[in-house]
Amino acid sequence: MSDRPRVRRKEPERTAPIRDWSNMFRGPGAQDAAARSTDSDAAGLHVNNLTADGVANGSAAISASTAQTGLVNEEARAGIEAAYRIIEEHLQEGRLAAEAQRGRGGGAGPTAFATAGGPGVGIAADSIQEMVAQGIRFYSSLAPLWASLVNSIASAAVMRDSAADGISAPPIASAPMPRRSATTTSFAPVVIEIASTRMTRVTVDLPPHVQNLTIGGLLALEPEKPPLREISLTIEPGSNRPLVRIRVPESQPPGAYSGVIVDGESGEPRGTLTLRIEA
Amino acid sequence: MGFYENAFRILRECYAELNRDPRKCRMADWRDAFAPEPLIGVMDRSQSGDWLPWLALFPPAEGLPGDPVAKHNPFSIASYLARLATMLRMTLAGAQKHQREAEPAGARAGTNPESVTGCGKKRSTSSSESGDEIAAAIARLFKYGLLATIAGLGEAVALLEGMLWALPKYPTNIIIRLLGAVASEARRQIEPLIDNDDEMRRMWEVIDLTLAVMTGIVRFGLATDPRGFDAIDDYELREWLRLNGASERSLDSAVMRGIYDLAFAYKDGDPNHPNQAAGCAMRGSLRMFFTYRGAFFWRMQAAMGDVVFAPFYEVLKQRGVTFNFFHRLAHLKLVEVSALAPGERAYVEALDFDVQALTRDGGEYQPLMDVRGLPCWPSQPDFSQLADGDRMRQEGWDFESHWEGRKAATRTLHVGADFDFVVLGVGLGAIPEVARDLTARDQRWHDLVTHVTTVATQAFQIWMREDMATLGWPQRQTAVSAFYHPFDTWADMRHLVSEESWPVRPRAISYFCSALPDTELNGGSAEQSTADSAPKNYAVRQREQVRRNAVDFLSRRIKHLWPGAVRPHGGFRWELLMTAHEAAHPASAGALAAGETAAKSVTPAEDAGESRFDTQFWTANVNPSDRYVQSPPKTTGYRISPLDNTYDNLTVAGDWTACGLNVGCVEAAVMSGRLAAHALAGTPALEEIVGYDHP
Amino acid sequence: MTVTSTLVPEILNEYGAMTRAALRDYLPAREPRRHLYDLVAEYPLRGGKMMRSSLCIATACALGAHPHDALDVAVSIELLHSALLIHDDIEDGSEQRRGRPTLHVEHGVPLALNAGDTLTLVSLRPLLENHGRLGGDLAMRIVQETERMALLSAEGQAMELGWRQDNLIALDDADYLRMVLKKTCWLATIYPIRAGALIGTRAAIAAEAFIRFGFFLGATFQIQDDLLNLVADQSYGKERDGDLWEGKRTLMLIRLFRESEPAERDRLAAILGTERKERTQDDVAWMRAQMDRYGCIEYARRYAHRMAGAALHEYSLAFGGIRESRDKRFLEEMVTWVVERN
Repeated sequence: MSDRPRVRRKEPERTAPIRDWSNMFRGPGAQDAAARSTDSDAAGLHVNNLTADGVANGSAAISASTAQTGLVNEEARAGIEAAYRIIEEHLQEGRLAAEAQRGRGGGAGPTAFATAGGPGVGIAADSIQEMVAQGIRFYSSLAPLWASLVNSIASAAVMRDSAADGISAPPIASAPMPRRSATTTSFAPVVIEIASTRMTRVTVDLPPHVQNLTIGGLLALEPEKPPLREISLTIEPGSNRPLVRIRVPESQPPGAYSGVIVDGESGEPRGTLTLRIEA
Repeated sequence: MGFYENAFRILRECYAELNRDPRKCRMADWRDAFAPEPLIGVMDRSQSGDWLPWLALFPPAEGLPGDPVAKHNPFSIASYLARLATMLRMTLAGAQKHQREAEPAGARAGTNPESVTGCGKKRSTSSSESGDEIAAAIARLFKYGLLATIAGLGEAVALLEGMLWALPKYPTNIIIRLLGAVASEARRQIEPLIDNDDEMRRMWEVIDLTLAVMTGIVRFGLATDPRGFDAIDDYELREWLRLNGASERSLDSAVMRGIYDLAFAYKDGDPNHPNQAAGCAMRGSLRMFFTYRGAFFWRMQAAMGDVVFAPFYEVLKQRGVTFNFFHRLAHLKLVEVSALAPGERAYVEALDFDVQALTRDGGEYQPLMDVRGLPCWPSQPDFSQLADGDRMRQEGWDFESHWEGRKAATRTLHVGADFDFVVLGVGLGAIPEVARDLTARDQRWHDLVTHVTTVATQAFQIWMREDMATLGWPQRQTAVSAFYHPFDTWADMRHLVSEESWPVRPRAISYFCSALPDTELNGGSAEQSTADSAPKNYAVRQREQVRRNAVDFLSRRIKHLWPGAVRPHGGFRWELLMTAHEAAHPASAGALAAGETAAKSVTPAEDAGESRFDTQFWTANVNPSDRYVQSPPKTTGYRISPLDNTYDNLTVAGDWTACGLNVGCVEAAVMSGRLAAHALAGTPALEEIVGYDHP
Repeated sequence: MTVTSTLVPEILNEYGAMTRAALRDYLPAREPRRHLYDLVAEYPLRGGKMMRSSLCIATACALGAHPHDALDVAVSIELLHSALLIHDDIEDGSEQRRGRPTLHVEHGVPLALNAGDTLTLVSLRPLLENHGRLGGDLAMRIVQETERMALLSAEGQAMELGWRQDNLIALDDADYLRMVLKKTCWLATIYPIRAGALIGTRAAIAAEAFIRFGFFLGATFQIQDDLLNLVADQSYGKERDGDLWEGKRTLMLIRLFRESEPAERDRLAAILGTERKERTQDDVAWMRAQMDRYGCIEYARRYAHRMAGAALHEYSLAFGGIRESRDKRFLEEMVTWVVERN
């Protein structure tokens, strides 16, 4: 055994990787550290100038505001200065983020657009016009799908859980994902009777355990096409299966017609039905 | 792989520091040692049961692996999502193109898919005008049926892609629904088309899997979950994809099988029990597909020992490191708890070694030998340097076998006198034996060896006298996976032909590998594979099993890969196999560590039957420390990080550690090593370990 | 100094009506109505001050554009604002909005949420249609600006909700301002003005233009809004004291906590730690009385005036070089209107 004291490891600053990418204006420690260390002089100067500007603005604002209120006191001054500090901080964050995006080569970050005003790497369309035009087409062509989708999300619970974190609080990581939620592949057996002289195809979305259902008419996207009104939804006696009866008039123009299946009691949407008449 | 940023970086630094003379050594620059391999394949099964190679040429990516990364790690799940959308769009475009080409002539005459959707450059000048245009376009969409709607779907995905690049924080549920619309539409339109159309089916499988991944990322909120992909590590990969809408057909596709084969992700090596954590698999796959630099895959131009470990060894020697070969760690001894001062952390007190052999002159063993200017690792030790070496050679001392108990001496190192810090870098399989103090006293170490599993692997390599084209493989050099078990993975090693020291050069060299089930041990967990529970002839029996597997494979399966290598009525053409006329060490024995058995030399008796295989090379990698680490679901949390400071003079290194990447591979091993360096010396900075901080 | 501006209500009416009319074009008029599209149309059609849209149009015009140039963006802003209101009302458990029951009270949370999400998507459409009138580049630039604003709004919302969730009341004025900057100012003032400026100058504005002005204007607006919730005479939108019921972290509440005795702090924390439905009339009345006792209302009023002063200062810096016009005057008078309104 030796006489010198035993050498020990230093305590590490952390023992796990940073997996949290949710704060997009700040990358991992390196982004700030590296940015600051390599650009420290320039950045430091930059920051100081801005703070100086901020202070200058602040003082002027204080004068303006004291003119406004007639109050010259510590509270006012402190308030204005605090506010200016906050807005300057905010602007600096924005500058750093924009710089970081540029440093990334403009393609890897999702906010690549926030900077130079040009599309990032990998944008699909050849031109912005193209993309925007596609957007309109997409939106419009999916509109009927949209309506049916909106209603056929598996359950109200799923909507509540997933929608609640849409644009408000960030999702709580420990909230259990609805593993039980039905996907679009789970259907209840349905009996469909169609009276039509032409080829028709019916798509139905209906979760299991349904009772007391009604359906209104089926509508097409194009307003000039009349709705299909001769449609009924009952429970097949004896089997408890939903029975859909549709009669397609001879004169009905070909195309796709969609409708929502609704719970007769609560009025809540339960599923959708789409009927396609081939030309 | 092209995404091994850390591995390539230190390799490149290593070569640069070595500064070999290119006139004397044919691998002076790292680019002499690695060649880009962009063509990768998996074996696809058609619906009629045929095996069809499905090859993909991965486009070269900017830069080279190991180049400096941008100031910070550029990885975010949101950017992966956008890239997935790009891939989805391009695959859909491929499907559309394929569909168009497959259309019988005359049908839908005059239908130009572009015009159907009104894909013009004309600008609308007011809302109402564009409204009319849209209505007309929709009418056309519905009228022209499938062909047009695949194009329409492509446009929808193009918009989704654009949104993901530009509007990542769009309310999540909106994106879910849009994805869901695209997914159900895609399924509705394309699934009916895949019968009897293999190419369409493959594209469909890629589309289906991509959709499931994207849906999963969005539904599980991974882009904003502070745990990143760790959040889904409790799920098995296929299970998770299935939850997100992937069809059974896609889950059984060649791509999926390849992902499991690459990771040897089979419980106990049993091909009927594929098993890997969804989070680790997603992280690894996304990095592999989307963040490679240069080429998707970089092929080593000689054996890994010569390309990677010899240069490392040489650089470290230059820097003054002392190597003690033939020392086998027997026991890592922790200080007794009673000996600790109050508040003092436990530490490693001593290390017991078996000294297998000593050098004759007492100096340091010189491990490398020069092969035409290149320092190489021989597959046998240089007995001439060892004291009592002749006897050892005659008695067949197998130093690298776990079950070789013979030794020349023992040695104990003591903290303070002999060492300050310990880096425990043995394979996970060896931990239960050498670190009993840790596993007995520390619940976390016990959990580590109980839950994180390893698997044995098997491999063989053959040298043939006809080239690949003649054998029925006309493609350029590639690596292919997802084939039969065993030997699901094949690497064409034709680049090594010139490396070999053969009087008559072989025309083709091929290497095959796969997981190896533990038929005799109970399960593959490291805990149980101790020297006591596995008698020495276990290794011999497994090796024989591998030989049988290889012969069986060549007899019955190889025809799907190399139609020209089999006889007209079936059976492998054994005469293809070449034998060595000299006891050459195979400088090209694939990617295996040293310890393989050399190709034996035979008299040119032209053995024509399957016994000719005995002249080739095969191995059962059953040594506990050689076992390949796996990442089963629910086990990632049990890994221990090199940064962990519970024992303040100990760190760990290996791809089995909590190194960020958490899958068995070279990159994970290098990352763990860099973490261990940080733990001991404070450098490199954690932010410099590329990919360590990663969702 | 109180100047009763007539210009501001005049312009709010004019641009507000223009926006409301254009807005109808974007509300889908097809099935399902009872469960979706009628709900979607509710908030936008209920009206409101139309301040945001007016700021956008006025800025564009002050910089030389035609009002119709900015109409699409104005519509988009109001639609998005309505969509966020639907969500806010649900999150806050509010019962009244614009003089009538909130959407989720009338139709239930699932349908209301769904309508809110749909409305968010609907709000995108005008930005895409923009490209016809404004050209692809400018339209794209506005989309980028929208992205930034939506992100920051969500962050601000998260901050505030986080405080409520964690029952954090020990905040200072700076915390409040940081939150308001993101949650309110970007959507209410900064973005509309910047978008208007982009349109007016054909995308030739500096990276940080108008952000300071927008911040101070928005902060003034929000503080005043919070004040009105407690002191307004007639129902101006939400139910009286609604903020107290919700436990919203206003300047007044923060000040109250800061100034209270320890025992009072405990009581305050206890009240705010419960669910809204468990709070009683007595709780709310007590909080309100405490605010009077500690002069929180006055404090906030002074604060609002201070912010207004700073806003005016920033206005002069931002708009100093622009030629005089009715629209430009409107922007200036907005500052006082925002703080004086009731």
